[in-house]
Amino acid sequence: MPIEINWQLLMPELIITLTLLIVLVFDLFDSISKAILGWMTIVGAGIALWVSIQMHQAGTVGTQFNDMFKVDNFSLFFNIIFLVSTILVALISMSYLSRDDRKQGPYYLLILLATLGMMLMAAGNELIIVFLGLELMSLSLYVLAGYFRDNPASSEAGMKYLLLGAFASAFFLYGIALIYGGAGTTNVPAIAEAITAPNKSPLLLAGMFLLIVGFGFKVAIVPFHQWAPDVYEGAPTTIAAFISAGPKAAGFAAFLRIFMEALPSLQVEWSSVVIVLAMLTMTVGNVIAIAQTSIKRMLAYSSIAHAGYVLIGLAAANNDGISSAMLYLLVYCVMNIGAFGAVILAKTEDGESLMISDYAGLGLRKPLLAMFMTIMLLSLAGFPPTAGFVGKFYVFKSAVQAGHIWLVIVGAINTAISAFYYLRVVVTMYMREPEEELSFTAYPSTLVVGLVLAAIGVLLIGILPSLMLTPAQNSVF
Amino acid sequence: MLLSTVIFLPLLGVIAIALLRGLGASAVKGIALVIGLLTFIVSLGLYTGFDATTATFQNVTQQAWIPGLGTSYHIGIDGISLWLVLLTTFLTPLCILAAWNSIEKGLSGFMMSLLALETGMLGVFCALDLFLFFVFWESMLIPMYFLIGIWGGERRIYATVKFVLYTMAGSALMLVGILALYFQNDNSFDLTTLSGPFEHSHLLFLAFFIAFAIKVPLFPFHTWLPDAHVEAPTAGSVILAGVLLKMGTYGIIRFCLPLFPDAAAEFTPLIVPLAVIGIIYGALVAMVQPDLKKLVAYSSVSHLGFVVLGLFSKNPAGIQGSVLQMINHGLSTGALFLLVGMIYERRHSRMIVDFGGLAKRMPIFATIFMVVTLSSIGLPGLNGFVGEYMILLGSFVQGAFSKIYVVLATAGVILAAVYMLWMFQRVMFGTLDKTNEALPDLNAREIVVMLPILLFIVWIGVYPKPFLNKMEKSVGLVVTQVQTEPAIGRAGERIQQDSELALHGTQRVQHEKIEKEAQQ
Repeated sequence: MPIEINWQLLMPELIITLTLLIVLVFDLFDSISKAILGWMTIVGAGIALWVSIQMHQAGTVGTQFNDMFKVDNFSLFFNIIFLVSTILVALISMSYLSRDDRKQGPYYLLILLATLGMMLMAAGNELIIVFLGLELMSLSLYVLAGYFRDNPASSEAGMKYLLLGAFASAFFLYGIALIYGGAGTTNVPAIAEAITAPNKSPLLLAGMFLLIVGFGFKVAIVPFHQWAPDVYEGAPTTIAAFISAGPKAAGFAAFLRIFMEALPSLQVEWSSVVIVLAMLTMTVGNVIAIAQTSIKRMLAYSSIAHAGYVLIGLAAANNDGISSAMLYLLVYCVMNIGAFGAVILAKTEDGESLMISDYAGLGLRKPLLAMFMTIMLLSLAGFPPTAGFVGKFYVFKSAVQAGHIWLVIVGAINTAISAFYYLRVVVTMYMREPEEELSFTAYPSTLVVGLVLAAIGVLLIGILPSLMLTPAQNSVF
Repeated sequence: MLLSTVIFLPLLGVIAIALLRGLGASAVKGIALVIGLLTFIVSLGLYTGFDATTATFQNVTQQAWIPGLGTSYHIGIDGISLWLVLLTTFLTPLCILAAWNSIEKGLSGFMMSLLALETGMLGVFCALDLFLFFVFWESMLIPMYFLIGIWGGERRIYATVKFVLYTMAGSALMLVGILALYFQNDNSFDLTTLSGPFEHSHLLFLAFFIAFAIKVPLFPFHTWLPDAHVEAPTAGSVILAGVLLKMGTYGIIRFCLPLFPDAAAEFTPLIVPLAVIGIIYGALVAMVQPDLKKLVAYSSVSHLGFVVLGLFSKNPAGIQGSVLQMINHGLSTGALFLLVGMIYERRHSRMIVDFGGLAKRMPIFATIFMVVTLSSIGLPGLNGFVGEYMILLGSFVQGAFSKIYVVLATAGVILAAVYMLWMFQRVMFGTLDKTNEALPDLNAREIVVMLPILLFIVWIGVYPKPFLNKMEKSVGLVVTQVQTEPAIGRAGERIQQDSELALHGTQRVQHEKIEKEAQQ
C-alpha cells in the first residue's frame, strides 16, 4: 500500500533539503563566487522560517509516515528557534569565512544538514526518528567543530566532540533499546499507553536514566558537560555559537517531547533527577565561569549554566514549564549567538580577541561593538528590560507554580552569581584602560546586520514579551 | 497619563541625547538640564492635583502589558510615593547642574545614565504591579553601575561591582517572594488586589525585607554603602543617598508592613535593635573618618537607622516622621555630598586634615555648609529636627517597643552633633593652609544648585504641615493595615490614640516655636 504523503506538512523540512541540495550543486562550479552560498542558506532558511511561522499561526497538526513524524505547534516553534539560529549563524559566518579564506561550500552544507537533523528531532514522534535526527545533527557538528583542520585546536575540538558524542549516542541508543524492552514499542504516545502506573519495570527505569545521560551529554548538563568548554574554545567561533544554540535547543526539544509525552507516568522518578541536575548544572556552570580568562570558555560555561535554567522548566513539568523552557531556549539562542558574534566583531589584526583582558577600553574606542556586547551580556545575566529577564522570570514562575521553591531559590542565587562574570566583561570594556593599543579590523556589514537583528530581538522580547510568549504558550503539545 | 509622562520623560531625554550627541558637550548638557527641569515641572502637577483627603492611589493608569504572565502596566501614587517622586525629580536637575563642568570623558553617556536612572527610580516609586516594580528595581541598577564604574574614583570598579552584587543577591530572594505571592493572589501581580493573610508569611516577609534592608542599608548589610558613596561621582552620590536608599525604606512601607503585619510584628524585636545599632555604629564610625565623603556616607547609615526605627513603631507619628525623614535625609545628605563635591573640584582632596580656616576664604560656602550641617544634626527650626522628633515620639509611645532602644537612639542624635560639628570646626575654622588660600568661593551656578535645597530645608523645619498633610491618610492606611492583627487588638487602639496625642504634641511644639520666633 503506498504511503500517502501530505507534502504541506513537510514544507519546512523540504525547503531546507532543497536548499542544501542547491548549495551542494552550486559549490561544484568554481566560476561562481562562493559568497553566494551563504546568501542561499539565509534565503532558504528564511523561507522555511516564514513557512513555519505561517503553519504555527494556523495551528497545523498532523502526523506522517505511520505516526513517526509529528508536526504540531511544539515542533513548529522549535523550527522557528532552529531557523532563527541558522540565519543568525550564517550572517555572522560570511565575513568570518571569507576573511580566513576558507572553503565555504561544505560549511553551509553541513550547517543546513545539522538544521535538518534538529528539525527531525523536534518532530520525532518515534524514538528511532529522534535518534536519526540526533545523529544527522551530531555528525555534521563533529565535522564543523574540526572545520579549520590546519588549526590544531580546531582538530582537537572535532576529535573530542566526536569521541564523547559517539559515546553519548551509544547511551541514548541503549536507552531506547531498554525502553523498547519495557514498553514493547518505540512510538512516543504508544509508550505512554504501554506504561501503566503499577508497571514500572526496572527496564523502563534503566532506559529512562540512560536517556537522561544521553541527552545530558548532548545539551551539556553537569556532570556530562566536560566536552563543552574544550569544543567551544577550539572550534571556529561561529561554530561555537552554532553548537551552543540550535543543537542545544534540539536536544531539549526531544528531551521535553519524550519525557513529557512518553514517560509521564515515570514523572515522580525523573523529575527529582532533573531537579538535582538543574541545581548542579546552574551552580557548577556559573561558579566555574567566574574563573575563566578566555571569553569563549566563559561563554561555554555560561551556556552550561543556561541549560540548567531550561531544566527548571522541565522539572516543573506543567504547561507553563514547557512553554517557559521553549521561550527560554529561543531567547538564549538569540542572545548567545549575539554574544559570540560580538566576539567575532572584536577581531584585531593579530587575530581574534579571545582574552577578556583584550576588551579593555573598548567602551570608548569601539562604542558600537561594546554596546552590542553589553546588551547581550546584560540579557544573559537576566537584567530587565532584556529578553533574558523575561525568559528567566517565566521559568522561575513555572517552577514556583509546581512547588519547587528551593529550585527557584537556587536559580535566583545563581542569577546573582552569573551577574558577576558577565559584568566583569562590561567592567573591562568600559572601566579599564587598554594595556596596549590594538588595531581592530573594519566591521563586516553582514556581521553587523546579524548583531543588529539579535540586539533588536533581545530588546523587543524584553519590552514586549507577549510577541513570543503567547506563541510559546500556544505551543504546548 | 501625567504620571507616565513624568516617568518616561527622562527616557525621552536619553533617546534625544543618543541621537543628538554629535552636537557637542553644551548641547548634551542643555538637553539633559531641560529634560530634568521639565520633568520636575510636570511632576509638580502631581502635587497640585493630589487629593489629600483619601488614601487610595491617584493618577492611576492600568493597561494590559503581558497578559500571558498575569502582569499589567499599573502605576499610581499615594501620599507616600508622591513625596519620593517629587524628591527624585527635584534632585535630578540639581545633579545635572552640579556635574556641569566636572565630567571630562563620556559626557553624553553620563547624562544618559543619569536620566535613565531617574526613570528607573520613578518607576519603582509608582509601580503598583509587582512584576513592573521588579523590572524597574532591577533595571535601575544598570545606569547606577555605569555611573559609579566609569565616572567614579580610584576604587570605582570594586565599589560598583559590590553595589550591584549586594543588590542582586537581595533581589534574587525578593523575586522568589514575588512569585510566591503571585500564586496566592489569584494569579495576579497586582499590588492593589493583594490582601493577606498569606501562607508562609514569615518567609515572604524575610524575602522582601532582606532585599530592602540591603538597599536601606540596615546594619549589618551596610558594607557596600561607604564604598559606593565614596567612589561615586558627586551626582551619583547625591542620587544614591538622596533617592536610592529610600527605595529600601519605601519598600518596607509599601510591602513588608501592610502585606505581612503578623510577621512584621514578630520580627520587630529583631529589627529594632539592628536599627539602633546602625544609628550608634554609623555615628561612631563617622566620627573617626578622615575623609569628608566617607563621613557623610556613614552618617547615612545612622540616619537611615532612624527611619527604620520609626517605621517599626507602626503608629502614625513614627511612620509620618520616617517618611518626612526620608525627604529630609535626601535633601540634607544630598546637599552635603554636593558641597563635598564642590570643595573636591577646587582642592582635589576630601581629607579633613587638608582643610582648615575655609570660612575666611569662602564665606558663602561656609554659610551654606553650616545650614546643611545643622539640618543634618536636627537643629530645631530646620527639617532634620521635625523628622527625628516625630520618629522618637512615635517610638516612645507605649507598646511600640522597649524604651531602652529609644533612649539609645536618642544618644545617636547627640553623636550626630559631635561628628558633624567637629568636622565643621576642623574644615572651616582654625588656620588657613597656604595651599587653600587661592580657593575661590562658590560661583553663581553652584549657588543656584544649593538655594532650592536650602529653601526646603528651612521650609520643612518651620512649617512641615503641607508635607505631613498630604501623607497623613496614606500613612494612616498603612498603620491600620499593620495593626489589623487581632492579637494586638486593644493595645493597637491605644497605640493609635497615644500616637495621635503625640502628633498633636508635635504640632503644638511647632506652633510654639513659630510663635517664639515671631516674638523674637
